[in-house]
Amino acid sequence: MTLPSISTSIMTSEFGWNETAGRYVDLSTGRFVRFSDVRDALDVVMDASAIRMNNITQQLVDGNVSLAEWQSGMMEQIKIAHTAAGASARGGWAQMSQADWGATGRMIRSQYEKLQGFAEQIADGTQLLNGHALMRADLYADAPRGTFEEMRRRYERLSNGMQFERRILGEADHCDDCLDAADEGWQPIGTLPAIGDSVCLTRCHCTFEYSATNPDEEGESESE
Amino acid sequence: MPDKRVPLGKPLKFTEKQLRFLSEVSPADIVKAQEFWRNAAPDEFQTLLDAQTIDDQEDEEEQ
Repeated sequence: MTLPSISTSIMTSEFGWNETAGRYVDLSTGRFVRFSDVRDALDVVMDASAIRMNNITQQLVDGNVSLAEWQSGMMEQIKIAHTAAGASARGGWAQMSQADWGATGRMIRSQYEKLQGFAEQIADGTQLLNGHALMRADLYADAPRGTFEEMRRRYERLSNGMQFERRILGEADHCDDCLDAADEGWQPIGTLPAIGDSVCLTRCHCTFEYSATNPDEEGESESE
Repeated sequence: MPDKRVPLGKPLKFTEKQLRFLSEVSPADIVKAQEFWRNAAPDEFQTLLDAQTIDDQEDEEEQ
């Protein structure tokens, strides 16, 4: 599939992307944008996505839509959210390569597989249409955070020469899996569990920090 | 008034091949995601994802 060039103009964006540094630049100041600010912006977008998914699921619980309609609506919103999350990690639409879209698609497929299981459990009565179903739907709204971190990890490994990573605990209650992963310290990039693969699932607020060399051995400064 | 609930019906069931196809990001998907980001993101970051690659700037500092 050949993707068309995305029609965006530097005149319409207040930001640039520094590919070497892997950072957004505020064009009005020339300064890097903190990735924590990018993540916060993504969180706001994901909140909007969560509202849509909650609405669709409430429609199902109330008997206003069929299971297939619900599943279709959720699939659409999952794709929108993960597409935006992937691009936000990679520096924007114009910086996404065919391979980057392929990687994003794989993460979307994983969510679709889980959603299919969810839908089947609703159909056979294993999952009741109650508040728990709404909470479970919320997990899909949080999942793009994991796509963001995986696309960042992909860029750091493939384009930025980073070879080590460590888990940074976010501002949240931490599950044992995340505490254990953080305790591992610096490890070869790509070997620590992905964000979303812990017991806390997609509620995880952990992030990664990267380094070209192992700071534990060399004492070098790292990249965020 | 009778309860007019829509019948639950069956879930959508896809093969692995179909899921692979459905999960591909198409140009139309990108346009939807662009619109969603621009409408949902905080005001100061609405154009963030429209960023273009720029040259390295020696005086870039972290905000």
